[in-house]
Amino acid sequence: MAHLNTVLGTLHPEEMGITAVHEHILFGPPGWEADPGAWFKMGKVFEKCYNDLMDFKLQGGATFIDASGIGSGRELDVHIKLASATGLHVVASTGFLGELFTAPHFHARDADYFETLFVHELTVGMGRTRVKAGVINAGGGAQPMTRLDAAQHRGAARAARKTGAAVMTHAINALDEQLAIFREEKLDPARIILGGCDTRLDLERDKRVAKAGCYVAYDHVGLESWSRMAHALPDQRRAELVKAMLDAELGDRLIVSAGSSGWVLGQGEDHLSNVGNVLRYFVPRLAAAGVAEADVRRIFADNPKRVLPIQ
Amino acid sequence: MAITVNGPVPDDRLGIVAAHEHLLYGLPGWHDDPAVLFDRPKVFDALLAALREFKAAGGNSLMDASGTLCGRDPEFLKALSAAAGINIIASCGLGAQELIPGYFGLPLAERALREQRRDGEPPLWIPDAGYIGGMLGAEMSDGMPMAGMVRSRACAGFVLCACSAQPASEIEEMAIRGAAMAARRHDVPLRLEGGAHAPRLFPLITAEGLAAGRVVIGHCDDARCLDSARDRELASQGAYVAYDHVGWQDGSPHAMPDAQRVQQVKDMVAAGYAERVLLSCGTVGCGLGVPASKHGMSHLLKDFVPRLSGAGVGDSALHTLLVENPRRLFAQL
Repeated sequence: MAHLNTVLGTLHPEEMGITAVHEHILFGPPGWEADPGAWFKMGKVFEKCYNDLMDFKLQGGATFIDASGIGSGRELDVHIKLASATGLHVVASTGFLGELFTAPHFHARDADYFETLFVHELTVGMGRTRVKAGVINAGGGAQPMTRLDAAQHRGAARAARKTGAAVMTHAINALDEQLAIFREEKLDPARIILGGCDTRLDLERDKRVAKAGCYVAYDHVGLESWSRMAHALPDQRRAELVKAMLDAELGDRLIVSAGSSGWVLGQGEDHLSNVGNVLRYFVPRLAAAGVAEADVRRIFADNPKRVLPIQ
Repeated sequence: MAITVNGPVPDDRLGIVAAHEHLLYGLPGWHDDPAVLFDRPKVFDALLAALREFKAAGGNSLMDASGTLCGRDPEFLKALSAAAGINIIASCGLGAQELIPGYFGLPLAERALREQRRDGEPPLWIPDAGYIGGMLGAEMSDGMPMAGMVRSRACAGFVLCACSAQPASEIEEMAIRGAAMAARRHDVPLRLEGGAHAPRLFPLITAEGLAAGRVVIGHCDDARCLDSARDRELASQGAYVAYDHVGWQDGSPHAMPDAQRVQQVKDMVAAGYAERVLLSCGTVGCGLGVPASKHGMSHLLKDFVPRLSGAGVGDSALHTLLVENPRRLFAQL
């Protein structure tokens, strides 16, 4: 039966409500814990993340997907406590976000290894816990794709087929190679969320992959042009992309999220974006761009409800 | 004076020292792998037995070369050292490129992106040799970091660095220079892994002001890069040359028969460099996601030393190799 794995147990898809599909609580590449300069006061950081999550909830949010995969800030004790303290449905994820976010222990592994690892995390529990992951990450933006990126994508696709979980990617510039691997592994496009479609713009590409059945994610809302990141973009452009996709009748394949981090390990607060701001600022912007309320509901509730639960 | 996990020990009390062992060893990230089992009490018992065997064979001290990132557990080592009555000198340092996780490498990748930033703002954070030097130095003065964002009160007693790339990658060079700064500042030995690259990197280390007599060149008995002329040259410059994979005789690319190591030691002694050679087995006591070695660290004293004797290395030379050299490595210069 379709269900969503949260860190506090399983949910019926109808319980999901407004969902932030790609966010992070703690986020950063592995190794920070060896540098005391990156250590933080847990009480202070917990309060910051609690406030962020409560803000999202008070704006109408109900479900929060943490896309920090294995070793990149996935601290399950924090997720669990935040879930019980806020009442939000918090989902943690398996998979990796590319080579720099993959710790050396996992570097020499192959697709079979990753398949086994991801299946274990989705069906038994993440790491040494019995807390099940809800979605599989696949990252890596190197071109051509590295051997490790390819093995992780292949492992993710096989684990998705085996368990019924969705795959969420984080590297749109490797799209062709990603899709080729997913095709080879016979992964249903309806189980694929293509993240980062607002980091390198190509509306025709977005229409093409959405027509093929994949979900197109504009998942860096709030990463405005004033930010220092190379792939920053005015939110108005994102709103126009959403409108264009809706006009092309591809609204059933749209995901919008902030890709925010409560705390960036080694760097502190993420000043770039915030999960609650999607509902506070971006939804009104969509309305101003002529997006109907039913379409807002479709993007933030109906689509996540269709793609995320384990089938 | 050597800083062991249970405090300072005068160098003339170190006795016989195994200069390169790994009690616990795993690649960074091993703890995130549900397939890696770490049965702490069982591992403790197994390592305690290995240490007791080493002690019964005459050993007194060992240098644990797992560094900051590769499975080191300071409180575990403290308890083990106390239970076995063996001095354990732990290490800090980052290791070769493939052992350094993204946290230390990502900012370097970010630097490459800096040109793309339109506002010209500096990147958020870039580690440099000075930063790494300060981080490692604090492991010697304040204690070694542990899981859970706390420091152990046990301090590291030497620094290690490594190179596997040709030439050293940007991140390796940063780690090597940082290690040299920390070793000089805290007057502790530095171990450079990778004999093949040593002639090139040794000057980089001494350029930071570290005395040659504090530098150990490890892995000089790696079957892939044997070079007796190199070993003599490094020894003549005052560095210690370590034949530290004794007992690794087959089944791995760096392995070779111990008979060849006997010849290496004999050659160095004959060339007048007995005072510049260190010995050890380079065992992995407990492998965390990597295989443990087939032999134990007592192989050095039970098997290899008798071989050396049989090959004509005299007792006084053996005393120099096993006791005097490590003592001098830690002694006041």
